[in-house]
Amino acid sequence: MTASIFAPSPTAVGDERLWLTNPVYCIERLIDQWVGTDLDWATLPEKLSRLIDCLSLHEIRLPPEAMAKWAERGFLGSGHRLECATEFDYPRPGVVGLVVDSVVGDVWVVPLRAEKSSEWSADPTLPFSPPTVLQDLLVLLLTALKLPNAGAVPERFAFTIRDSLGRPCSGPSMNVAGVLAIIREANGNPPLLDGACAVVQADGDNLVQVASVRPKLEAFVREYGRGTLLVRHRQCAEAAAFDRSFDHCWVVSSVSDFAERLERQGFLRTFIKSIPLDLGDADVVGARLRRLKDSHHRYAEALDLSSRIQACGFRSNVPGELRREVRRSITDLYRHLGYHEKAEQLAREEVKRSLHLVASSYDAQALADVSLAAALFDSHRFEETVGILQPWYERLAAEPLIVLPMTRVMVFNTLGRARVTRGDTGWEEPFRRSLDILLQWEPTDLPRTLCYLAHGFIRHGLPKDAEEVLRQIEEHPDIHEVSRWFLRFYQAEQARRGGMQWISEDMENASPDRGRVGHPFGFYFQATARQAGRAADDAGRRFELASEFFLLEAPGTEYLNIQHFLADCMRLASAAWRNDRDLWDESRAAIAGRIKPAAGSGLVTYYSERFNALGSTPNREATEAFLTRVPFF
Amino acid sequence: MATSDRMDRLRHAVKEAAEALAQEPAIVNDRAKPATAGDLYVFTLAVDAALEWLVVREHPDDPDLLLVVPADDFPLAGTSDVALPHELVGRPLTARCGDAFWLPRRAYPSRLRVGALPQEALRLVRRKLDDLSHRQTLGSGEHVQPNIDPEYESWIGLVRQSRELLQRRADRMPIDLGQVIPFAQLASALPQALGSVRPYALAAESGSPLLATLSEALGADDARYHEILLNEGGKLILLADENGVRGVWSGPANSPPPRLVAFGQAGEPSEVTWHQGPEGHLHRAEPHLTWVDGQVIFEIGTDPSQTLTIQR
Repeated sequence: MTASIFAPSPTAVGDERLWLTNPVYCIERLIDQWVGTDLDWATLPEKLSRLIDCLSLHEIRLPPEAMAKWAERGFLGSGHRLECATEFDYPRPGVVGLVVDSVVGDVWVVPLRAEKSSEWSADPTLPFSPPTVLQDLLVLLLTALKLPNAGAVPERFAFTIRDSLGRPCSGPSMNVAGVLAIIREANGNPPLLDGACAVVQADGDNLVQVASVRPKLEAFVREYGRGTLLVRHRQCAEAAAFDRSFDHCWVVSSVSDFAERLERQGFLRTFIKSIPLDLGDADVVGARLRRLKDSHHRYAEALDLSSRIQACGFRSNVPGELRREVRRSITDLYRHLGYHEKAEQLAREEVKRSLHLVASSYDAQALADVSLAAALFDSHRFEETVGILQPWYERLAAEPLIVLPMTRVMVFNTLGRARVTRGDTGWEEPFRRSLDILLQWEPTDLPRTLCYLAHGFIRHGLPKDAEEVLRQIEEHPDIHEVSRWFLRFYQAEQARRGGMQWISEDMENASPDRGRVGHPFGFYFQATARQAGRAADDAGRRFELASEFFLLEAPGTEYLNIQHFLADCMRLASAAWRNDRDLWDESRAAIAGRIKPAAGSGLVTYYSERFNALGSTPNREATEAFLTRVPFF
Repeated sequence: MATSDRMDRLRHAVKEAAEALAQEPAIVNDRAKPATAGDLYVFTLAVDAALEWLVVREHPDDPDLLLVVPADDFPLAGTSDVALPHELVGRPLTARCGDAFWLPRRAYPSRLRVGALPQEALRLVRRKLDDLSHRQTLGSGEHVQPNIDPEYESWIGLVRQSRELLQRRADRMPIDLGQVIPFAQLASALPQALGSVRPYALAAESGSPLLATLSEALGADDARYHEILLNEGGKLILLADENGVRGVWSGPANSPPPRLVAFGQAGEPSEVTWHQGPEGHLHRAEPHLTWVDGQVIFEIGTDPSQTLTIQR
């Protein structure tokens, strides 16, 4: 006989976590070794029986199907009688992720445990990176339901997801399972989710099938025999072959399909209750708001969240600062999204508060004024912008310490941008003062101010200075993605003004996906469209793309929005470049509607001369002159 | 898992009852004595019912036949049952007199005796049996009054199934057990034909309670062995453990394994099938033979054939 000097050992086939989570896999590896020699093979049934008894003592359950298979192969000793399996005989792992080991090709089940928490987190071996991808998916599901949930803030919930297997894994294929684990926990472990898995993953608003469906589901059936719920794609034949191994099968092809299935079970109701936020909730939603606004620049979602937070209200234990943060966010977000009229209205209320509240400060007053001035900038009321900020500029030159450094930066930059647009001499100076502060106070924020400075040089016809600043931005080690997008726009604009063509590959690959920030891409595509020698069709396509990007963040028309105006400008340009008479008439009429005299809008004064020069037929030169007037380009 | 919880509970209950009774010296005064009226036995039956069997009396014409009545702690009782008073038996116990039957004395091995009932309790059972006899229902299995409770009917169905199984077994089991070898007298050393004991790699280094327990379970060798050198060549090895006995045969390549017959739950003879190992040196008998009333009876197809019984 050729037996090894060592008997095949449980440690040789798996560590403790693997035995706990994938016992059938481990046992089959041991059996593979046992059947290699007469000695191990002869006593295999007895050993297997002892092993199963031992696992049973540790409350590790094995599926009847695995036992039956081993019995059929003569591997199971007589100590284990096989009877008709009932639902109580099956393991109940909860919601399970399915992972493929890319090196050896083994497939394992990963029972997922969710716990309510004060912040989103996941064991580092799980593929939820960052863990808030699950929050995003949960919010997407709730949004897809289109329920009247104006006062509901599902973002208040946070969970920690635990990994039972402990093998590092990556990729988005487990996200749906992760959300199901959360839903299971939030709903008190309903029986439907006692043995659930999903072989779909989100792709925008759609759900698509994950990779390696068959081996993944084989692993599920191997470990559990059958499950309570399979979530699979409508057109996934591989998964459909496993339907009979599950009590229920949800066939889905979109996030809304999935959301409807969950809602029919009442699983999502717990997330859309409209009750005031307590301190813990407020911390969680505050973190999400900052992430959406400052990190992801998903302003529309951030505004939606802020509005729902305000409608939901706070319990008395929530600090005032968080409430103020939400209020200020709403004003800023309306402005970021281009709703200048609404932003101005809210900013004026803030100015009033900052002037009259006992608990005010110079800093609060300066910030409120900057917010108002910025809203007025978008309304093309540059005189008023300068009128509000110039006194602060002078006062801060004399007494810089009366407000915080970053407040000074905001005053200087907003004033500088208005001066650039007006063609004032000395427009550069406020930016230089900002840069001095940022160098000491917040070097990571330098690129934003450098972008404003570069734009000033470009608009004032100083290409060499612009070139130098653009180089500094490019070389900044920690340039944020929004600043990088603006950098690409300025580079394209610089090339355009120099009579050249230039494009950026990463910008070219961008597509107008819902939820992302759009205007930097709109600026970029209009600049590349207007570059010399661009074919009419290419230019037209770029203008149309720019128009789509401008409308991306602000599809609603309930308030005046500068991005709607910019989108119409792009349609006008497309008509001019393509010589499309109908589109020309249509877009001219739209622009006329937007720049008509109206309270609070400076557009009519600013554009009327160039607009009147457009004429009744498509005209590239006149359009070019009109676009050159736009202060953002 | 397929091993049902209910069965486990029942087996556990029987074991506990047997242990409790075995510790009552006033009742179980001599475990070696032959079956006597009042004795209680527990037999191995693959039925989901934990039953004890009460010896009631000898047959008046054949002292080798004993009348036996199943008894249990199922809480419902029918008109042909006797719920024995707690003060007499110290626990819930009901004799199912409608299922009394005659069983040969040899079917009551002393090792299966778990206790005995006091004479007063035995008298109550006999009185009920006489009463039933007068109504000419004895042995028919019919219960005098309709017992309409479905749970009771279901239970009595299991009792009857057990009775029939026991009766069939008694009819079919060989009378001569041949050489009887108690488990304790089997060899504990691994026979040479099965190789030598090997350690489990890394078992001690796992640092995991679960893996340590698993390795320990695999390494635990509670098996006992009996080797039989066959004149026809080769060696038959019987491996016995707490669950039963398995046959392994090691022999020359040109020599087939011997015919091996064992007796099952219902006393039916059944020939094992032999499966050759991956290396071709060993053959393993299927199925694994579970203990039936604490023993496995073999007929080995040697020339001449021999009967061998291994008892726990």
